[in-house]
Amino acid sequence: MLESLALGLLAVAVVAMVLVRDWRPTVAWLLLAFAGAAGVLQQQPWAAPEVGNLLFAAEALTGLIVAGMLLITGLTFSRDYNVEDLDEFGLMELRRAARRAAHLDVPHRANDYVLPGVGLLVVLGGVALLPRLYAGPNGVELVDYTWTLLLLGGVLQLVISQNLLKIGGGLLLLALGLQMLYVARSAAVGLVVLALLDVAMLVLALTIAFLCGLLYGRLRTLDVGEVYRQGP
Amino acid sequence: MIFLLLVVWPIAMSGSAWLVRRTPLLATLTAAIATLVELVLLGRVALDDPARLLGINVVVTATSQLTLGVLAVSVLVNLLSSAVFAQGEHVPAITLLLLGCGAAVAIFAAPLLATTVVLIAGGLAALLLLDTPTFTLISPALLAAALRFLVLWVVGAALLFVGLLLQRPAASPLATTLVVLGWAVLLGLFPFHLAFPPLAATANVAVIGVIGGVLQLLGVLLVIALRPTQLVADALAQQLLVAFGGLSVLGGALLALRATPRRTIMLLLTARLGLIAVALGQPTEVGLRSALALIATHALATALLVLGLALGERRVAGRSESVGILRERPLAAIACIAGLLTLLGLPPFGGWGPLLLLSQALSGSPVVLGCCALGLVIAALAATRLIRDLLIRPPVVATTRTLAFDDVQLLPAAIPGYAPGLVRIALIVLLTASLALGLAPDLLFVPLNAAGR
Repeated sequence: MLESLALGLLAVAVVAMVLVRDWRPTVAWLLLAFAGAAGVLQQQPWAAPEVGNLLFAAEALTGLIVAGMLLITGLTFSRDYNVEDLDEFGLMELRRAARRAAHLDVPHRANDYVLPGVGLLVVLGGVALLPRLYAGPNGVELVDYTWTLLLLGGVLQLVISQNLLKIGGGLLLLALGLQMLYVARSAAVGLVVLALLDVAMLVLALTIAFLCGLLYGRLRTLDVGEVYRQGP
Repeated sequence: MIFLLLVVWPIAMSGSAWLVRRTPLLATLTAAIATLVELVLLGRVALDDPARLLGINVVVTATSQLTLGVLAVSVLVNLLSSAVFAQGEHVPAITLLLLGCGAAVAIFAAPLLATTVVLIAGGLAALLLLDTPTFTLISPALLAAALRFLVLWVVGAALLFVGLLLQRPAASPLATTLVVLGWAVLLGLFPFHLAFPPLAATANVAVIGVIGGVLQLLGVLLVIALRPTQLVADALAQQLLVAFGGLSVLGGALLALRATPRRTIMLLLTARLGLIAVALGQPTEVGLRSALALIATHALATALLVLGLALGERRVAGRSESVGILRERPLAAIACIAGLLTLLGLPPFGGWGPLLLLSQALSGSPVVLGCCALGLVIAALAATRLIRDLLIRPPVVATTRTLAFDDVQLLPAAIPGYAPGLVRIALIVLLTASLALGLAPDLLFVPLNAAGR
């Protein structure tokens, strides 16, 4: 029952991460995904209660640190201009840019959700089919749906994201999916591999934060499209 | 105990190198000494003597010892170049962490654990590639290339991980394909080479050394560590690896024909890596021996090319140069030419022996042998063009001054040389090694015969 609830949480988090365009809610949904994964880990039949609790704590802590890193990075590198430092010409330019931006109908167009929506349908189809096609030695288990959802959701997030923080979220979903796959399919689950996968997620979050800092310092945006426009 | 030290020592010393990062020379010296100690430890480890460490089986085979040794020597060369040519302050610490990752991949006889370590190494490498000197303006192209590298590396490691796990309870063609695809992405084989040439073109010259000498060797080490379980018994895996390798030899060489100098070097390295993949795809002892020999000479050629290119591109205040590098900076030119000849396997440098072994290994596959030979001919044409563009053609003098340009820097009391003493010594050692391997190939073949068996 608890495992089903954790899987439900995970599914909601992955769907929301794919559909939401802003990076701020993405961080919260990522944290929820980690909570769901921690719940799934804790409920594994091979894990004794104390081992299950340890895994839950480790996963939740990793999620907190990773989400914290992305949140601090996002907040640091998405600040507006320091208005008090601008002269009157700078302020005039800023007001003009704000007026122009107000007329641009960028957010929340229905067309923007077509690709993520279709992608999600494909992902959900894959989640329903893949565990049956490649069933493990014990048949299809709930944890099989977890790893397919996370891996396919991570790939979709990578494909459709334009924001560097959201790409980071996709990479972290992929790594989380690998962890669930390991739990589901490994003949004997080793805690060292699980711990190293947590370390890998921390390193990935750190790298994304570093990249965000450099990108914002150079182009004043976290939009990846801008990097390729101004590229070589 | 020595197994634990092999992994923990470089990681612990990376902490020390990080603590003294504000004094770059001290940090580099710390890292270099740590690497030398790692080499000594590697020499003292008992071969083929399994043990248990943290509940995991560990063993060092002769092949993984040799590959890790080559990786450690490459790390030393990279540390040397980071000491002489301006790089970020975290380079020594991160390079040592990568060496620790290499040691873990080499000794842990657990494919999934090794793949996880490689995933971590990818994140660290992305940090290393972006670690530029303070106050350096990072170009958007470099950021784009680093992001592409990070995504491709994670995807490659994920493919490998998924493939390895889907092989339970029984191997399937899909799982094998995923494993080899993961290898191809991690090694940067054609057509998954997309991240490396842009990185080489936009980043610091030493990045070519990091990619060719450390990262790709880490990928090769992973293949070698998994080889007994994956390649020897699986015909599909062998065929796929040979196919990707052959494609890389031809594709890399063809693309190098029309690329800029730095991209050409990276693409030639990709072609060479294709040869290594072809050799690893052979289930015979000769195939493995040729792969090991190719790895050793690949690292040697990479080191020569990186040091030569770095010397050639080094800005020296007070030097006004009007003709090409070949006449103005002969040591840089010699290093580049020796590196290219080693890469192409032309005597008297040390690349021809491994190619001879590879041709023996491929004697039963004339099509693959023909592809490799054609790729080498095209690579030779690309190398000729590279020598003309990079070494003979006069430099293009900028007509506008950059923001970093300072007239005061142009007024030194004496014109310094373009090659620091340490780099001269390193180049002489590398050139001697390449010539020695070319003139007396038994120096390489005798230890390889033992390792191959």
